[in-house]
Amino acid sequence: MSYKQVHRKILRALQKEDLRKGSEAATKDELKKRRYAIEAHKYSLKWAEDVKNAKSSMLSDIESSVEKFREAFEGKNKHFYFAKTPENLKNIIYSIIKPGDVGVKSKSMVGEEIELRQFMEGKGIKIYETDLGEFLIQLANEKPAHMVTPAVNMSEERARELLEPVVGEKLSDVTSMVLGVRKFMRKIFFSADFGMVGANALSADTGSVIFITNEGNGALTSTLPDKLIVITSVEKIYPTLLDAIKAVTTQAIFSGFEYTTYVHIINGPYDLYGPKEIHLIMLDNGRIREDDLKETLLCIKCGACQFACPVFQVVDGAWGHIYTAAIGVPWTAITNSKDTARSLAAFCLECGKCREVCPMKIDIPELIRKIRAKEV
Amino acid sequence: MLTNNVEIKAEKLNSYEWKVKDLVIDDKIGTFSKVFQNHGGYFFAVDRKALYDTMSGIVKGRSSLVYTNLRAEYEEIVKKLGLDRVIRLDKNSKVDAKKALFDVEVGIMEPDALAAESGSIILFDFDATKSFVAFLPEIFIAIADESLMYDTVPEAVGALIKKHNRLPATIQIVNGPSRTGDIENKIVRPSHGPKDAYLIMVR
Repeated sequence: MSYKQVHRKILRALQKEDLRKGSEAATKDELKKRRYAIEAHKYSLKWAEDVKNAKSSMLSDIESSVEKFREAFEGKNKHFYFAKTPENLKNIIYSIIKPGDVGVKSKSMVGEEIELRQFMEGKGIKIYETDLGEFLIQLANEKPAHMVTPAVNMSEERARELLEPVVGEKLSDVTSMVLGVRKFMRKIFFSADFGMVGANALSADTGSVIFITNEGNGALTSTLPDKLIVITSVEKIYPTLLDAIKAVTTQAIFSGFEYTTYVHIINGPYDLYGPKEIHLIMLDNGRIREDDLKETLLCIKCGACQFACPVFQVVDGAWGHIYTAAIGVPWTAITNSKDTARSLAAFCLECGKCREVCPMKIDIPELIRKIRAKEV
Repeated sequence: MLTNNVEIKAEKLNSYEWKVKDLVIDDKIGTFSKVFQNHGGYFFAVDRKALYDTMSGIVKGRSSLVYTNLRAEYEEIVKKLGLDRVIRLDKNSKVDAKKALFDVEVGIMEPDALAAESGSIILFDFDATKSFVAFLPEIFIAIADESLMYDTVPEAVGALIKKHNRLPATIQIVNGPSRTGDIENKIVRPSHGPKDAYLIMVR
């Protein structure tokens, strides 16, 4: 994206008063929840340090970390794949599932990053996003506005317009919308050929995959279909299962959830019911590097910096490509294009609020400055 | 059939410091009750004699139930509830789970552990039966006693690894009923998981 394209996108967002008001209200609410969550769980500040240290140790030699995880993960009916590029990942996916297959998917930023759903749909593979926010984004054919709450700016009215044709009934309020989606999706969960999930954390000692949800969509996605596919990336690896549990807890608290409703720790296929095979695809896509941008990999995707950002508060996902707001700039530089990242960097106000709220203490403004100044 | 469960050197996992040093909770049950209810769960502390009445009240008006991992005494109570369709889910019951559980209304089990600080119900699931019972029905009921209570999730997980000497296929941590706030931050229950989650603490 050029500077002009980013500028136009932001101007359009500024003109939508509903969107602006919705974004401002949602972000203030999220920040309040975050402050309360940290206050209620003071140990989370120490845990954030522990998580940073654990992550740093794995990031010091990512290739070894990947190898350690692979050794621990691989086993009977558990298949590991490494994908250097998005194209590699898509080819691997296409070797595991086929046209005509129907899948259910829970949230994955890696999937968004490489436009995986669009690729699968193009190949005749029907895939349903099961997280409500992601489902709304899918129906709207838009990009997620935020890493944790992808449809944070979407109004009830817009959600109704999108859901009524799909659910096939009039939806009077948010409750009826959610229940309508539950009914619609239930049949699909039970008949899906495959489930696809992302990972919030991985543990190198046990080869475990950990992911968190509130809706229970991840639970059904990972237990009902016969085939489970995990798509993840190299920076999610932690040395131990204990580190990984701390990481997802820290992520939830700093996101403002305190605790998510569900935490799923997958170690292997079940003995009786559930998936008979697990495929895990780990993506690089620019992450294995030694330049200053490497600090970005400490990010645990809590989204706190997005809510704290004054630009995001007014235009939300308009300031970004797939990764949005402050941390979105270095993530774009790593996974997409430095030119696009530079265009985005021009709109940073350099207020430093993102750095203040980041549990990993990433110096996001400095990363943005370096991108803008072409120092990385 | 060979097990697909992960065989990990338990001695290595047992060497980790699972206990969270600065987090020791005096009133574990009180804390669990408060946090679990804050998350939208229901908590009952009852005597054994009152268990039938409590469960009867919860399942009133319902006609289908699935259960797993229940001691014989609780299994008898479940059968006494008199629901039209009662499914026992384990490796001996030979149930086509997807067919049987699509519209089942209630799921009951004894969990593997509880964590007070986060109001968590913890399941060590080797064969998906516990996951199905906890996630698929509209109402999820866990029956526990104080011996299952730990201060925190890490401590509980560490204790279960020590007890079983291996990891299960999945560890599931349930902190309440399913919910979503994805439309204008308006919280709605349920989303795809249970609408109601109950923890009955038997004294």
